Amino acid sequence: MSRAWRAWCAYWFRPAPLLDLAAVRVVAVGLQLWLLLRLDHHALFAELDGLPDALYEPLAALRLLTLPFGWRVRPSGDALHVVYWLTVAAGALALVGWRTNAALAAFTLGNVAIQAYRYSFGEIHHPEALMVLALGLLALAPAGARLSVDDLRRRLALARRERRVVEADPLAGESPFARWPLLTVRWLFALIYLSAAWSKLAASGLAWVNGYTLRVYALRDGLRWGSDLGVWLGEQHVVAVLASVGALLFEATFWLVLVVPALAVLYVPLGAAFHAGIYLVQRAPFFQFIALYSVFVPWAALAARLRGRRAARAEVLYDDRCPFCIRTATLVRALDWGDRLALGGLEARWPALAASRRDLDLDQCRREMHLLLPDGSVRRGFDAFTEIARRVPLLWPLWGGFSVPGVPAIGRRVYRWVAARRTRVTACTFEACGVDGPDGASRPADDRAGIA
Amino acid sequence: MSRAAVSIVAAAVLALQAAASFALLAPLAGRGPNWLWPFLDYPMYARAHREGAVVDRPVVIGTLPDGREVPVRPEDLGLNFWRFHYGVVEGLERGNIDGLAVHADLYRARHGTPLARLRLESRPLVVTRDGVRPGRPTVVAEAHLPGGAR
Repeated sequence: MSRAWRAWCAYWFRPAPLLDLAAVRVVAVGLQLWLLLRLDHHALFAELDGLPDALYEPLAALRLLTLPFGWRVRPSGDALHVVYWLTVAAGALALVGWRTNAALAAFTLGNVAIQAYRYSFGEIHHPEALMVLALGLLALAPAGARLSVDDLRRRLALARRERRVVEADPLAGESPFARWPLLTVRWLFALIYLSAAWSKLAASGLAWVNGYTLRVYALRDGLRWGSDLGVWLGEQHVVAVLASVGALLFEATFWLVLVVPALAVLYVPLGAAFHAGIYLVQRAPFFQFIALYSVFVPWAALAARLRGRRAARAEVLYDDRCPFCIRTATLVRALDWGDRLALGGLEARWPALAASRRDLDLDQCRREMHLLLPDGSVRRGFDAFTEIARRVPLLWPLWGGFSVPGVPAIGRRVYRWVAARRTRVTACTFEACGVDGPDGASRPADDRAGIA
Repeated sequence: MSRAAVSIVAAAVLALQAAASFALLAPLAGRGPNWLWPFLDYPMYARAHREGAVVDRPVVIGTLPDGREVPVRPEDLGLNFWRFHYGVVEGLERGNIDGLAVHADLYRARHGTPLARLRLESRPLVVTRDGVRPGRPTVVAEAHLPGGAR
């Protein structure tokens, strides 16, 4: 392996947190999906459908997508509506991370098709370009390895196969393929800002920061789009000079973030403020750029820091000979992003607990789940589950439901009914084992026979 | 994907964006600068303005076959601001009669009457060191449309 290739791999494929990639997926897909849902697609497609063929000059991306039907095919309005709804569906799946890579690929292609068609009639804007590139890169990376239904399904499958709780931290884990898409988007940012700075300097030199330039653009767009702030800035010479210098410096030096990553602390908030300011003054909606600044955020480190401030953990005492309980504990662990709970298998923990917790009874612990709270108190059965839901934000909808008057009484009865009918594996190895059925009779181990 | 495949993808994306960023792609493609969207350059707002700069407020006036004049706005053609700007305002500035004729057909389809002429006027504002003042209205361009007398 050559030294250059090793250096290349060390830069692009250094193991990085999977959470960083997944968080960018959630932010980017979430925003793009929201923008897509806000789009008045009926009005847009009707408008485009009404334009004459003479105005239609399909962009290269659209020609590629429609190539199977011909080189200059113009999609019908009905076809566009189908593409729109398929794209929305793919976006929803990509957001929750179900079949993430396929969903991301479909979401990217759908967005490319819609935007490229929209821009094939002479009008073009810039905000979506970086977003579709970023989505396409995420589709080729393990962006669904965390914060996803895919991860949940993988954990449950592993728990089922190995008959043990998957206790791995749901937010931890690294991959050599988690870094390159984020790096590529960072480089794209740098190239785009350099393009903007280079255009200004090439066309105008330093005269661009004379104040009049920004005032003219602010006034023109302020009047055109109804921005009072734009009209106001059109009158403010000193403010315009300062803002011009700041904008040009920002664009021309953004690439420094790639050389000195610590500068992201300065440039990311500046960039977000820059685009927010452009929107307020000129109504140019570069929201996608703001969302994609998430590629600079160290999400895993941030999560670790937030967790460092957490309160003491409660211990979930689950029946580690019950396949259903193992899967439930795996599910709870997968959703416990705040790391508020510790998991303890009953049979494994009992020798230690028997000595330290005289208030616990082994038979009762086998009958229903126990939650040992940091203050020494205990919740059992349905009440334990309610407390778990309270401590895990992703389960707050359940907690809300459980708190409705009357529900706890029903919940306790349902819990006892289910607990009495679950399957327990007898004390032996899982490879050659019998199970205690609800009637106490022993039969071959097979968790499909359980209540799950 | 393997490291090699990923490397090719990342390098290709960055190379395309780098070429687009500095306007190298458009001449290669032999098309307009935006043809290779989403690989674009970002030349917006690049031109400097100086004291006395004029903020154009373009107004398009249409002349009907009977000689009456009517304002022609984006909604009169069923277009948004940008398609109107690129198609009609810039079409008048460049003297693109064929393109203007296509847009005049949109007017006829909506209003039932053809346009004989289109005129682009500017009702400007002038930016000075001390503030903004109205400028003198001017006619920027005028075009006679084929078939406008029908």
